[in-house]
Amino acid sequence: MNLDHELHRVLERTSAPEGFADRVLARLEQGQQPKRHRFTASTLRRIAAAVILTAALGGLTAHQIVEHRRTEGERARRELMTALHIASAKMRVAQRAVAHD
Amino acid sequence: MTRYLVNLLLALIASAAVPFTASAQGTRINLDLPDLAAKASETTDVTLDGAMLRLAGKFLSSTDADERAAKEMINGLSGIYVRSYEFDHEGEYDKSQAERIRTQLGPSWKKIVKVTSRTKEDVDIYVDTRGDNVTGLLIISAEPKEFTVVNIVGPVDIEKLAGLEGQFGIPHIYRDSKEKHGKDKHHD
Repeated sequence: MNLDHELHRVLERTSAPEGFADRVLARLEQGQQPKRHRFTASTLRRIAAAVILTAALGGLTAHQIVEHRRTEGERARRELMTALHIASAKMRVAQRAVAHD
Repeated sequence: MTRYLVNLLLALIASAAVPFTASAQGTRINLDLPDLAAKASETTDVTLDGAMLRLAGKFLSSTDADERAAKEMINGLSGIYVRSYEFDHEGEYDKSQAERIRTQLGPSWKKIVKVTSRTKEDVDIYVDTRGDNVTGLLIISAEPKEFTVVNIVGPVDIEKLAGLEGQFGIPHIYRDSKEKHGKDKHHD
């Protein structure tokens, strides 16, 4: 009998506390609203500085790459002319020797 | 599994293409002679592979006659390598060093010119031929105070190469005064 009584007490239907439904709805509405990021003037200044610095570094790097490429190309051109000059001079030596024979 | 098979197929194609490319382009010879470099008073070392030749080509002037000729000359080449060693005194290097270069030449290499001089310079010219095509050139020049090797990899126009010197407006490095004067007059 004691068990029956206990079960009856636990499973008994009880109503929600006062204002429970309103509080749940209010929470739901609050959760659905998108979060807004608000940038302060200081943050905006930092972002702008970072963008300018990145652009400047990027430009400098690009300039260095182009300059390096140009230096390499000029060096290759000079070496090529030296190599062809040496090769053609040796060919001429052989040509002259063959012509004299 | 499919990706593995595709990769395997690509690897097989690549490995088959490498010897074909090598045979079409001739062979690069190892020109390094550390013994000579150590004794030389002056060393000229030019190493221009295909990429560097193409880069050099972009910087060659199309209005300058010498550079225009050079641009035509390097078209299709995959490498130009030069080692030139100058010595202060005659007999300072062993002429047999040239053998270290010659031993690398395979059966496709043929000697086309051999110039022997007791007092001036010995010049040997070899060409690498595949069928009727010249796919490489090797020049070995041994002077009393200078040793020079040149290796050109790729289809070389030998006549054009020999003709280049006449076009270059820089002083001749050889002492054939008679011909030099003739050329100078021609240029003037």
